[in-house]
Amino acid sequence: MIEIQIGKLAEKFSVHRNTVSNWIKSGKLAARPTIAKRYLIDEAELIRFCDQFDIPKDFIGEFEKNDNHFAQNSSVQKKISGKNPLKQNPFAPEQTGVNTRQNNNEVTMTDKPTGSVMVVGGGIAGMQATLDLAESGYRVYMIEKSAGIGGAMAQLDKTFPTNDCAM
Amino acid sequence: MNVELLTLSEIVDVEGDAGNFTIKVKKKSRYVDTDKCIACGLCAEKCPKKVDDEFNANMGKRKAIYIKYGQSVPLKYAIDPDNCIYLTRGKCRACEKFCPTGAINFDDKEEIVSINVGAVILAPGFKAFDPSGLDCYGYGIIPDVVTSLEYERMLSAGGPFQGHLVRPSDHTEPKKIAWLQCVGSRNTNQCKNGYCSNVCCMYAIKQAMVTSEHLSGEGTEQSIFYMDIRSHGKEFERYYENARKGDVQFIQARPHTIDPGKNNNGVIMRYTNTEGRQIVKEFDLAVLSVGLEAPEDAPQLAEKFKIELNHYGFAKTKDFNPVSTIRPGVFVTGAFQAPKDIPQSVTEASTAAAEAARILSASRGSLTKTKTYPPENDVKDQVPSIGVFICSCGINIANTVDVHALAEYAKDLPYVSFVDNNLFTCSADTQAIIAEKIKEHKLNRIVIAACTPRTHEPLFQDTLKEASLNGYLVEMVNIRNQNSWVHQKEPEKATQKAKDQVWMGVARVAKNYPLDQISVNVVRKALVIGGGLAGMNSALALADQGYDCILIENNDRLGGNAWFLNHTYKGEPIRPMLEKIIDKVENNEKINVIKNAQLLSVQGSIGNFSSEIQADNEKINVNYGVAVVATGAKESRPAEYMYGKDDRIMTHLEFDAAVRNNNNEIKKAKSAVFIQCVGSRDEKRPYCSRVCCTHAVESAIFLKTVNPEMNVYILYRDMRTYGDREDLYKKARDLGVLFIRFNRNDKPEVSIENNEIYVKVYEPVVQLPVKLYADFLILAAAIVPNKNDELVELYKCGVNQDGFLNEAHPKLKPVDMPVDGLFVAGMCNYPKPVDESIAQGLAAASRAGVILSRDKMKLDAIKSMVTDKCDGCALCVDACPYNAIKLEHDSEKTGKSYVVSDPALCRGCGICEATCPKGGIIVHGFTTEQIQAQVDAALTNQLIY
Amino acid sequence: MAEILLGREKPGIFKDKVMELLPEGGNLNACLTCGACSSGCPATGLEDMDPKKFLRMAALGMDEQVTSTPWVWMCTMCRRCIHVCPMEIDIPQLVYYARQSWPRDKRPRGILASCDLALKNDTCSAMGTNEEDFEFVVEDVLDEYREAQPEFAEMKAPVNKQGAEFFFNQNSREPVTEPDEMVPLWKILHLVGANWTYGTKGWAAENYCMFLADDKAWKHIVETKAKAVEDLGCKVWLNTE
Repeated sequence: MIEIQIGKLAEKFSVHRNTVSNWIKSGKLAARPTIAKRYLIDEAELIRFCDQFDIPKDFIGEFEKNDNHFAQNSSVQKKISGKNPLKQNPFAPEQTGVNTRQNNNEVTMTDKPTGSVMVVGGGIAGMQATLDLAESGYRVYMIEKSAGIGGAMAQLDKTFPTNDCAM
Repeated sequence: MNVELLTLSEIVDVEGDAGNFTIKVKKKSRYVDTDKCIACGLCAEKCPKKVDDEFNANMGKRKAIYIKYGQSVPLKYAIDPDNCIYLTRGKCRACEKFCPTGAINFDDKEEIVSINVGAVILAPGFKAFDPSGLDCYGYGIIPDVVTSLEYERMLSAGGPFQGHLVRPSDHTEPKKIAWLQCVGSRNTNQCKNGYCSNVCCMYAIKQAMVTSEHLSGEGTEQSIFYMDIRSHGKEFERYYENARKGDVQFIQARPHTIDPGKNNNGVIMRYTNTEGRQIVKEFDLAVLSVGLEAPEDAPQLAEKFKIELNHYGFAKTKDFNPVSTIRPGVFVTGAFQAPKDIPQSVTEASTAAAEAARILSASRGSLTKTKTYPPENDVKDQVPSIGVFICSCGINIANTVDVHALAEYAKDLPYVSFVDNNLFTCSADTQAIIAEKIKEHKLNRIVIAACTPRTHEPLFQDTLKEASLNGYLVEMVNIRNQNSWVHQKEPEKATQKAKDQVWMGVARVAKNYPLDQISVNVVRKALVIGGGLAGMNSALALADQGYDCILIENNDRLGGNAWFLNHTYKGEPIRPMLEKIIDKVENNEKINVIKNAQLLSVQGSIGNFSSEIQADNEKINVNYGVAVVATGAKESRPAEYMYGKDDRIMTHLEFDAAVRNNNNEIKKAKSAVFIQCVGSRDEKRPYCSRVCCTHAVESAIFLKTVNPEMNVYILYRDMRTYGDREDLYKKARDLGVLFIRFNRNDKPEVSIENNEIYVKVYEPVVQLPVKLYADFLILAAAIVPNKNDELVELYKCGVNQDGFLNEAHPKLKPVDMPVDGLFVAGMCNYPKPVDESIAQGLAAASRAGVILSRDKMKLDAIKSMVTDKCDGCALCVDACPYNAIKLEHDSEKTGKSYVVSDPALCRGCGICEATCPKGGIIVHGFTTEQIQAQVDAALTNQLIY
Repeated sequence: MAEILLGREKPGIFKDKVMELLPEGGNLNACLTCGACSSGCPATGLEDMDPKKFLRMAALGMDEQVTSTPWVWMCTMCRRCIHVCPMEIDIPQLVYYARQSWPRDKRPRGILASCDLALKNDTCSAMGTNEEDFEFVVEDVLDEYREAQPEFAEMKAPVNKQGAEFFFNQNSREPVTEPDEMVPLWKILHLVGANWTYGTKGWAAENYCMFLADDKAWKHIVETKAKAVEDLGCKVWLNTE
């Protein structure tokens, strides 16, 4: 599977990005949505499409291959061309291997858990939890139902006892 | 970069278990391409459709295309599909016509994405109580009756009245304002919310205090009508006392009905004062202090995630696991867990993060990335080649400052190689332009004339780094806050000032030189000081995250105050849980418990501390990266009410002990009297001990349950059974416990006559003295912090006026201490019950975990540096507020004295540089030369080098 | 007044007794002393009393004061207190039972006399008017107006009309002292063409026995009125008081 961004593909095809969107929506180009507004296309399908529109296929190698099923462990692999590859992961726990421990949730892991957390709600509590986790080495997906984060606190004029502005 | 924000999104479906959830999320259409939108606001200007603005509590209007508020994140517009004329009726599309970047996309379709995560934290917040259904208050009918949330918007500079406080009916300034407390809380008649919403007393006091800043002239009056004032948080009692001394009237009464004033302006209310007289009063405005209810989507979320809600619709949790639900891996926090204020929400958010982190620690770092940058170009020997980018900030700057003239002016300044004017210098596309121009014109210094560095300096530093320039080669010139925002009426002068500002910026930046951020190693171990519930839970959470912990405890056993308490307020027995936790701690491989311990010394700073610990007869040296201080507090000995004169007069802990020891005398008693606020809320200790009202009602319920015939009385000043602890207060009353209010100036009197204990108190409702037999008298003794002066000295941390350890910021950093690398948890910070101590302990583990999660940490490069001009006069040593400077003496070689500054402690404040008469210590990035260049540019027209 | 001594045998059990009679004890223990009740009570301040104080006295066992204060007769049973009480405490019922604790002959003379008069006849008239007299007055006044005002020549004031749709009751005082005041109602009913009637039995509108807190008498009055309506086969009973 190849992971594409609509804008980049549109560039290659010299069309407007909306055109590519419409191809996908109408089914002309078979693609499946994944996170961050990207799409997964079967390589063969992309080749077929190029042939159909008489577009040279040499660009296909530039796109990322993503052979994980998008439902599992999707992470955004941003292509940083010409930059250094990721250094030794500074977040890695000192011990490899798995901790089996009893906490109040009585979770015993034998498989490695997914290293990400979903935070539902973008108010002050959601934001703080997100920051703590992201800064500790976990990927965080924050789901907010309105158009922006901030929650009720953003509506307050001042807080106390310091009379700071709530922003 | 490790956070993905999905706005306009909702949960559709949840599957899986802790460690492996697959969650379907519906991303609703924004109809605006966020890659293209630069939030210029033109679309909203041209949009013809006005809609009630929910952000402004429906008091103003927004357009169908909108941003929530000016500082929204993401700062991208969105189209409201329920109101957009095109999306509902197929006409208009004005936004699309006018958008300068073509960001409007009416074909945006909603998407359902599947996301795989290891844990979930639910923080959906709360819903403000809607008083429309209450006929007696006239909300929605009488124009000058508003809710507290509407009032916040009315006060706010960003609100419908731009911060000019006027009343809705005739837009005149209100002089007399009344707040009515407990609207939609503590009420099972007009609504179903028997609980206390925890925050309304404090927000009403705050609103009243802030109001006096907004109002001018004579005759202003703020009145708060209340049942109990609940100011049980840290520093809240003082705030309340200040309000009492100031202009705010506190009236212990509830008006029955709000009637409209003359000509439907203002309101008229009638209330009965404490002496039973009915008073009719007119006010210009009435504010209903509405309570906090569970969020609207709570039932759906509970259903999708298969968690339980309590009888009030909030998430159901346990005191010993304050953020956990019945579903492993799903945690709840914030107001959804229970109505609470900001400091508590922020703390418990970290608690939830700690719980999530402990089950996912095996995969820490597996899905995150750290950013890497290209190697820096060496600019040391280059002549300054300055690029000036002038921001229009949409119309925010450009409406007042003539940015084109400014750009023309900048072109002629010395060393300036390139000038540009951008609509929004902070937008993503402009960063690309800056990087391009750096390369194209070989720029080695950048001036950004725009907003305050506090908003975007890190962004610009990042842009430079990505373009191979050192991040400290950029200077921001504030032509917004310090210019266009305050000089709107004088655009010519504003433009001239902007020119001067840019000139100063250019002169200064020419003197900027590359700075390196210091990297320090992190010792990935934690020291936890204090083995009570807070400290133990902290240590366990840190150990579960994979970090070694040293837990030191003063006494010879772990457990702290928990040994002396019987139940939590939710009725959970403490002893069995305590023993379980102690067992876990003592058997945990990663926790090294040291009892009978005393901290002797502390050296170093964040990431690298070392200490000597005395334990029994040994001295142990330890190294650690962070410390959690959880030294706890204790019950004081009352100095009043004849405490100590009779065994039957006891404190709350003594009472719990008596119950544990099956004291039958107590159960057979004919009467028991509780007196609250013994040693708290007085001159000596003007703070509230927070837990005693709840403990008193719990104890009273116990007594009534074992002996329904017993007469039980609780003498109080304000009942502070906050949150759903209010249910206990109701239960106590229903069981026949009699509550008698007294005030500070008229305290109860205790006497012993013929071996009978009597308590005399003035009953305020019938206005008669009452004499109570007290077979047992239980006093709510104040909670005082454990001795911490040595610790404070060792770590150079601070305590407040009452001796409790300080947090870094009362709202936004309630767990971090002002000393980097230190965290506070439990009662040493402020009295609190079991669930809150545990929550804070876990929160500290999360906060500490942020530091421990890396091998190295970078410090900001704005630090002091000692030069060879230092002659050891040591004037700077005392001047440094962070104790970062030490005097040293090189007795071996030069015989000279000189100072040394620790970059880990230094905060770059500059006081040392300003103090030093010799230029012996400077602060990188703020050298005398740099500042001098700015000053000279301001005063002359020549560039002086 | 001497101080109240509490903590041994209950000084008063009035409140407890009332709680036994009310569903969920009428929530009488749940008072927060917030004062919302007193703020809206029309009788607050009379006899130096108000609902909050009244309930509090009961809670403190001050039975003597609670059962002897004349304030309970100044309460109009408007129920404004319980309407806003956060705990929905049934203060009106507490007042009612306090009324009932008064020896019958010590209760306010006006109310007592009116109740006793109402019990004398099936008319339930608080002025003791009997069936004949009532019917006579109605007919008499009707004739007078039919003659004096030709536009109302066809007006009716039926008495005991079997099967009428509406059964109207009538204030006890008017037929005796201000009979002309009955007429405006007849005119309206005539103009709208309503099918209505008085009953000679149960025509009086008040129930002083309820105010008197005499349960048995109250019940009797209500039963008499209900029977009167049913016997005439009317569908709607309209209460003008």
